Amino acid sequence: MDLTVIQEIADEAKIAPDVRIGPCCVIGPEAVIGSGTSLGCRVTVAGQTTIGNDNVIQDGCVLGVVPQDLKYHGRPTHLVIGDRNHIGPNVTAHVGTEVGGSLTRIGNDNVLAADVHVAHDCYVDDRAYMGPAVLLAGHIRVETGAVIEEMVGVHHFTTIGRFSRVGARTPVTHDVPPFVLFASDGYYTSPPAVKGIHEQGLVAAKLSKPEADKLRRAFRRLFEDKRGRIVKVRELLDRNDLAEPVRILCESCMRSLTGRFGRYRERYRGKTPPEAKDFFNGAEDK
Amino acid sequence: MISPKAIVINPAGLADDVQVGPFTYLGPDVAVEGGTVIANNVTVTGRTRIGRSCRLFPGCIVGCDPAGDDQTGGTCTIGPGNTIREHVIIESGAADGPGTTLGENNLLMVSCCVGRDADLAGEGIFANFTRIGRRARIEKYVRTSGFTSIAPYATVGAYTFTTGYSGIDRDAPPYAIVQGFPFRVRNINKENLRRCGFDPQAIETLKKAFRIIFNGEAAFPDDEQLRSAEQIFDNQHVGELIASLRQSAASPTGRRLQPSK
Repeated sequence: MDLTVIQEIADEAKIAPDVRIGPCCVIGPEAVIGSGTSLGCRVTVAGQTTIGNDNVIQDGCVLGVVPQDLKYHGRPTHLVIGDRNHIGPNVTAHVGTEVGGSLTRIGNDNVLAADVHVAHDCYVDDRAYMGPAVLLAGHIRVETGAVIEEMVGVHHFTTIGRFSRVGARTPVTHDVPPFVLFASDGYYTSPPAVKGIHEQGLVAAKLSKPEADKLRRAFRRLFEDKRGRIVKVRELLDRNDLAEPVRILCESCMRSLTGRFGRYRERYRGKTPPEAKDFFNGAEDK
Repeated sequence: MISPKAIVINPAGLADDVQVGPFTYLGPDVAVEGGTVIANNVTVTGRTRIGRSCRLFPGCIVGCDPAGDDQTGGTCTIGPGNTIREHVIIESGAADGPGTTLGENNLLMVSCCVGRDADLAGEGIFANFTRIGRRARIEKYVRTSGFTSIAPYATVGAYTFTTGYSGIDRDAPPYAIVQGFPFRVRNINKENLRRCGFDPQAIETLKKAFRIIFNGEAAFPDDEQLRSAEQIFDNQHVGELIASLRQSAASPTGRRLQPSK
């Protein structure tokens, strides 16, 4: 059957010849879709959306529609999706806002399960997993290898650290450090907090055994109690012989602790964040 | 402009400048007023009336039959200026009900769900995955956060803000920030009141009243607290707050709209 009868694809759209497009898809004039990508049924690709190669985009996804932010006034902004992502059914991803850097970015090799919402000005790095109905509010950074389980709601300007894991139905209102497990069990009984180290994350990060041991020791030192964490982080950062993952953990904790409300990206409120600057200066292409 | 690939059963029901995207289905009893933009892949069925200057985004479903209910055939009325984002579901009313009603200028974000015969007064902002139960009443200027669920027959008072994952299992008072499941009143919603043009004096008075009325863990403040607040404050907003709390407390379920059996 000739599917083009039941598709609406703008002539100006730049679509590689081997892209598979399902029925009832609507693709706007400014869309760019790379080779090997497949789109399921009823997918909408609107706005200035660039989709890389070999992505799987399942039924009902809506990509590149105007953001829900009331500060958005219709200037052309971008949604850029990298390569080899798996985007599940009914996923929504919006373009950026003018004040937030004009860019929403999804990197490579990510898995977004059904109903995930990636709002304006979010930056998802590589190899992240998001379970069903994960809700990213605006201006969020999800770093490489983060695992977010189902129905997690993430507050604006939050950072999910690399190779961390966020437990199901956890409200995330401040930064999640790298390599940790962040969860809550019941709203009043156990507020969301760092519950331990995310062991599979250490494996995924390909840390050597001594590095992992050092990270575990540093983690115990930092998170055994709440008091004086900033002092402990400073003490660790002053040492010269710090292993790389420990340095990453300490620097991330330091940034979050000095940020407003425990969210270091709050400093980009109303400004263009460095990720967007790098992208538009072509730093990522080099 | 109506896309040639849209399926519009009754084009006479649409005003001249309505835009309809491809693969959108508009049923036989659908009326749409001028200036409304309906995107692609939208489904509008039932006895639905959509006001002027609304925006419907891809994948939303408006006026579908209520789930798990034989009482179909009611109306669905969407007021002017509403924004209905992707994958929102708005059920139509039951045959004997008042019909689902949305007032003016609501913003329903991605994946919201409005149950049958719910009544949204207007100017509300409902974040993603807000579930509004059947026959619920939402007053003006309400803001909800992600994953809020509002029980059937519950009333959410004007200017109230619900935090993420909160469950509104009984009536939420006006002017408040409510949190958790079962919810507790956390504070007065100062920021929203300021944005909606309340003067600082009125906000300060309400804040003092909140301190007296909501000091304690009880679901509803007892009558003594309400009486003492009433004596101290001779203020319209405090009066409304107290009247609302009294109405809710009078119902055995804490939901004033729930009919008694």
